[in-house]
Amino acid sequence: MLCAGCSRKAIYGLWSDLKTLSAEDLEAELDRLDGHLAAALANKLANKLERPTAPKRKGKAKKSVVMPKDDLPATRIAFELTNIHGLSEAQAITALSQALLHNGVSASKLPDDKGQRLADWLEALLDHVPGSVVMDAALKAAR
Amino acid sequence: MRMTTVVAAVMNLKGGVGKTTLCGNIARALADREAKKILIMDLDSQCNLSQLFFPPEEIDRRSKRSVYQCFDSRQFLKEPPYPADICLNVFNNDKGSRVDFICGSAETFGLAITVPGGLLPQAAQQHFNDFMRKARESYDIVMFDTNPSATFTTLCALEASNFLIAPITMDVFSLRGIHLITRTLCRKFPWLNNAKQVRILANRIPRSPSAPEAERLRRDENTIRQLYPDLSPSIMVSRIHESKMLWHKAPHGKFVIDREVHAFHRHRLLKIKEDFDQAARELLLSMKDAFGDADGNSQNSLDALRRLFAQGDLRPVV
Repeated sequence: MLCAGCSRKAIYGLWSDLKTLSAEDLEAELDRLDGHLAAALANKLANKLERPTAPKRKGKAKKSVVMPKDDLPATRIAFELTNIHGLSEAQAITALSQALLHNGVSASKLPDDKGQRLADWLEALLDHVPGSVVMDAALKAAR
Repeated sequence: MRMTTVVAAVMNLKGGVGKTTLCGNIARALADREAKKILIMDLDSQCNLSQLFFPPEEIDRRSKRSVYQCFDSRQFLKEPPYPADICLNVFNNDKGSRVDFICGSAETFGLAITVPGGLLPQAAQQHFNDFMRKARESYDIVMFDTNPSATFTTLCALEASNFLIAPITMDVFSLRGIHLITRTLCRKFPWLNNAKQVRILANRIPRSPSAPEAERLRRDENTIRQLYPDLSPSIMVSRIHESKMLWHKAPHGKFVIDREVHAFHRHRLLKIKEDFDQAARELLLSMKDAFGDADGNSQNSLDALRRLFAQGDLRPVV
């Protein structure tokens, strides 16, 4: 432990001082220094606490968005609506339906949304409406 | 009543975005998806697509039955050939789909550097237009693989086309190539202004990107949409992912997705096949959206009437 914390010269100096002492003398000396050592340590700690330190760098708070594993059209559109723009599945279906109707997509092409998961609804929708049209409407709806 | 023949130019003024690879394999996927008669024409004088079906020496030998014959009007009063005279059947399936291919020719390079406007180019263009009239009668979809510059043959292709399939790699440069086409050439070809007739297909997207990489891709796509808002509705959701399967040429006479591979690699081939299948579904719907089919047309007209009634622009006469 001493070797790790002190220089070679300091250890040699310590040995030179100690080698002349008998065991009793050493015991007496340690008893005497006990109070001093405690005070010195407390002093050092206080100094360390008071010393001004450089402010810690704060990284940008990044949104932890987990991207979808597969890159299929329905998954990407669903991800854009729910994860990026924070819509619930029902809200996403409603908003997207309205945007598509507004863009002139025929109502007959929109699948029935009763109790369907968003991904399934989108998959059914993409059989009738081009994905590019759906994605464009989704981005506008989410804005 | 069938859908208007879609004549699609696969084009981007930036090179290396995957025009040739996508042109061949998308045609194959379109034929797989629906019963369609499809003709592919290799208008690139480098004949890269032709090398998928023929060895190089065969391409030179086929000069008399190549795409050059569609332009060659040197013999006056010579009728352009029928597609059946010069094409090669490269795919058939049980549904009744058929893909025919017209081989490219190095001789089209001479045409490619021709300055339009002269008598000979005018005659060549007329010859090509006459050929295309015959092709429209025989096929549901005609696809051109073009070279990455606005040369004479490419301009002839755009003149005959009514649909643009533009591959991009996900960067601003390749979208700039399409922006140049739609902004600069739209005066000559006004149909390029219609977003329904332009489809942009992202190619070489990483298959399993890390989370930051996927986030970057999403950001890049959004940036592109903001930079070119008029092209935004044309960007396809389907994507073609990067795959080593597409690097290697298939044996002559086969599309890449028909390759026979070791069982260990079969899942990769299936994934690529799924990519092309998704793209074909989206393209077919886009084509129907742009040109309508028998049912689509009547449905669209009814919907348009319903909207006018709803907006109060049209009132029933009592």
